[in-house]
Amino acid sequence: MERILVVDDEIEVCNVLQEFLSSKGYEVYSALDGPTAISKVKEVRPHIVLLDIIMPGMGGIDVLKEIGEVDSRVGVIMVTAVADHELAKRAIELGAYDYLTKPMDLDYLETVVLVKIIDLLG
Amino acid sequence: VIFVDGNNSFQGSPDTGQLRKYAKDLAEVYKSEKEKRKELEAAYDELQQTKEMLVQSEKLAAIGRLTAGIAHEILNPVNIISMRLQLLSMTEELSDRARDALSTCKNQLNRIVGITKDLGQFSRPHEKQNTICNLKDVIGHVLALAAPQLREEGIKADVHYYPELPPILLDRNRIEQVIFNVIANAIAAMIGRETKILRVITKPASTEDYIQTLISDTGSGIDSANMNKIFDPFFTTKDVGQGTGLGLYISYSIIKEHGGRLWAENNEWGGATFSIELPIRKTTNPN
Repeated sequence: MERILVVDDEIEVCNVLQEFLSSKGYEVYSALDGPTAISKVKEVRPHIVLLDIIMPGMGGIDVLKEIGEVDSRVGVIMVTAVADHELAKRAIELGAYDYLTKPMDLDYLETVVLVKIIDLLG
Repeated sequence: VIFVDGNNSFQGSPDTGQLRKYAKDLAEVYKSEKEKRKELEAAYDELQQTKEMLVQSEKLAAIGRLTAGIAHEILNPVNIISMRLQLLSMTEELSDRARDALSTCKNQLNRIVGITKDLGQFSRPHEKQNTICNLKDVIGHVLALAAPQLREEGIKADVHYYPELPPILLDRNRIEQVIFNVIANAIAAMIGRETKILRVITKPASTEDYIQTLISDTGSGIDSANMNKIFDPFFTTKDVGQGTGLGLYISYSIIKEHGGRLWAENNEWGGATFSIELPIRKTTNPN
């Protein structure tokens, strides 16, 4: 089963995404902050990470860099509240697969995740 | 008797010639002083205007930072509500009534998202899509879009393009948005007025290397108490539900991003004139 890690400091975001992605057949994990996210990446080796850009403490961009050092094949999808093209461009340059803006369209999220999973698993 | 001034002094009773000369000199001094005073007053007015624009600019920048932060905080809970509603409609068997209610909630959420995204754009850097454009084409396009409304309201468009203005570098869609906002306000201001004229003029600005667009209406003008508030977010004189009060705020931010200026004055018709000054740039990077 393909594994997805949801990283967001809002527990309710983790809960909704866990419920949705589990219903689509994925094994879903969550982390409420950057350091926990990096530990989880090492521990569960997710195929996809849904990563909030703005989080207290360690921000999404720093987490992205660290994930890249652990496993560069992980498909990191950044999530941002306000469409900030400069930040998104920077995230893509640093190896993020895509970025989504809030409020998230769950149908679109499902498609983006599926495309990356197919790409990863060949 | 000794008569003394800056240039003349004589003793005893002056003869007519001396008096005439003295009066002439005095008149010249008076004229020169009057001119100097006029110049000083003009310089003072200009300084006051610059000061007011600076205060306005600083105030809007501060509001922009604040509102961008608020927009970000609002979008987080909105995201959760939106995802919950999507999940409900995907997974539950809902009655028609519940489905209608859900649809209303989604539409209202989209409204919140629209407002917060508009609010957030003042301080956020934009992906610039600058192209070299002829301002005449940009204004012409907006006027063509507004033509049905102008016809419906019986407004006469009086347009004067300066013949030799150079093409300028701008984000065309966003400048069109500004012109559209200003024209929409002008149309709204003229509802119920006897004379309805929308005048659009382009010309070289008094500031070198800038182009000025003047958009004037024959509405009732801007109340002096509101003049410093019209670019504030959510400021509107329209009835509730007729406007969010974000149009001019966004327009101001777009013009500022282009390195230009946007301001308003009341005109000789008793209506308002909005002035948009845009720099003439030759490079692809406006910053």
